[in-house]
Amino acid sequence: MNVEVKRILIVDDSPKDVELTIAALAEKNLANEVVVAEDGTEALDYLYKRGKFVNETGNPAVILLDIKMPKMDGIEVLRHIRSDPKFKFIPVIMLTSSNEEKDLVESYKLGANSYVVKPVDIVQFLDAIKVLGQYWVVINQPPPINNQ
Amino acid sequence: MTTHDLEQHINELSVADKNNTMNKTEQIMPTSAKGTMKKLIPVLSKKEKQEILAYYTVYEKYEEEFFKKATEDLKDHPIFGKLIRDIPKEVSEASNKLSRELQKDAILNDNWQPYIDYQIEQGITYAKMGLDFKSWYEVVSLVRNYITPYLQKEYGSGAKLISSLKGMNCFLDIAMDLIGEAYLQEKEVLIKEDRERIKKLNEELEWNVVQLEASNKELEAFSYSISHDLRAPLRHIGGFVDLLIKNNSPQLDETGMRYLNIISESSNEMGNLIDAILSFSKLNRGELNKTTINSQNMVKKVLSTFSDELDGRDVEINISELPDMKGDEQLINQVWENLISNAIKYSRKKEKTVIDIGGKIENGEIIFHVNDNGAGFDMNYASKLFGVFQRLHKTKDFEGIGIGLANVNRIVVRHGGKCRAESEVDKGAAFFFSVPVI
Repeated sequence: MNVEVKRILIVDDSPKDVELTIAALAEKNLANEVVVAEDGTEALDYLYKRGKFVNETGNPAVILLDIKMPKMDGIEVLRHIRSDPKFKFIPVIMLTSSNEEKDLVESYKLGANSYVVKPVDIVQFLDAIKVLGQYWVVINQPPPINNQ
Repeated sequence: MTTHDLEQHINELSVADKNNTMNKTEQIMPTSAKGTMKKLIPVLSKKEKQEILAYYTVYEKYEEEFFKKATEDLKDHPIFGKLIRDIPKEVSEASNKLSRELQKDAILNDNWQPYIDYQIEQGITYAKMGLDFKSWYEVVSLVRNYITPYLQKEYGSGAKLISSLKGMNCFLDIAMDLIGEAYLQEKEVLIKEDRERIKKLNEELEWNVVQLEASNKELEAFSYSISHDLRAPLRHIGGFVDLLIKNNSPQLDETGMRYLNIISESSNEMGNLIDAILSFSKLNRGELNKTTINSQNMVKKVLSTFSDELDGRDVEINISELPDMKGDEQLINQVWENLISNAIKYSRKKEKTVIDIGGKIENGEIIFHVNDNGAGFDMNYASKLFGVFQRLHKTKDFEGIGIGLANVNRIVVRHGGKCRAESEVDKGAAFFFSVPVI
């Protein structure tokens, strides 16, 4: 079955972390449709299709959301996303640099779906997607046999 | 006057003594503490002066006698007996002589001030010595009882006797009131001083607590941000080295690969160290959530988590009686985990691993032990055992950061207990931790 890949929105203020995440996704050919927002404001710009994303269309299939960002942090972005019916159901995976309980509790309280510790390991990521039941929404069509 | 009447009269006077009728000295009531106590001369009528003189004449005549008798009788008094014994004879004799001279000067020469000053000093001294003023009343009663028979002897049983008795009471009351008032005022001063001292100490203590709390908060914020800020570059080092290894292996020779692996391992190690520091500092945060812990169950559960590691080894684990204890379940679980993990780790090079776990109640404490027959450690370095990142073995022999025992010590100390260890190299080690019973 041909399932078209949907977009993955990465919200992270560290370009190096973003590069590592994209490299991880590339391992399973999931990097084709990745959109990067460098902070909370850009993330909302993308969702509302304004600012530098004014010409974009469609919602992301999943959002990878960093917690520690300057100005609007990940928890606040999550709050915004969950309070708007348009985006309420988009699966959000919180990215964090540690298992600090505080962050964990906060993210789950506000309706994050999952929690992944950076660097994003592809196995971790896929597990998180599976758990969300969004696996088939996100995953690419399997690569043709001669590419394996 | 009959003997009966006389006795009754004497008794009434004794009762009046106990009630401390402030008759004569109401006029000379001092108004403040030493130095500011107004030392007024008693206002005495001619008749009163004669009465006092009638008493004093007899007193002076038999002075030596009843001083000896009084000393003899007071020898066993709980307070004054001790004073009489402790004060050297010369000192007490000199003091007595002075007292008698001042008394004489006051009564015969109407020179009251020195006598008054002397009595005030007495009162202050009693207060400073912490003596109970009630005892002083007892002594004065004794004095009355000694002197009275002599007054009877001299004056018979008529008006002269009554006169001299009045004089005695009058004089003794003056003395009592002076001493009493000085005593009370000094006592007040002492109490006030104590209160001030306590207040100051409390203020210091409160200030220290405030500083400590602020310092702790700072430390918490600091360690939280360290966790994130230090981890980021570390993560990038590790992440890009991994990418290098994945993407560029064709260009790398064996040495190059080896170097990259070492870099990757080192950054992992640093990550572990940061995690260890963080969790160690966390141990001081938060309230202890104390509940009753079933030590038997906890130890058994902890042991079961090591079943993989013990698989294939010849292991004997003896768990003797383990008393229940009061403590924070999560933290005490960590203590058992660390101690048991060490016992298992350091005995793995032995053919057979023997581990003993037990506990006993002693002097209001529960002392638990975990003994193993493993590599042991050099007792000369025992003081380093519970230090952060301190190890007594090479990493290539036994892996580890050196935070486990530091954690154990922190937790146990927070519970009000202590840690201790004994060992002989290659013969095993015994680790003890104690917690108070309640």
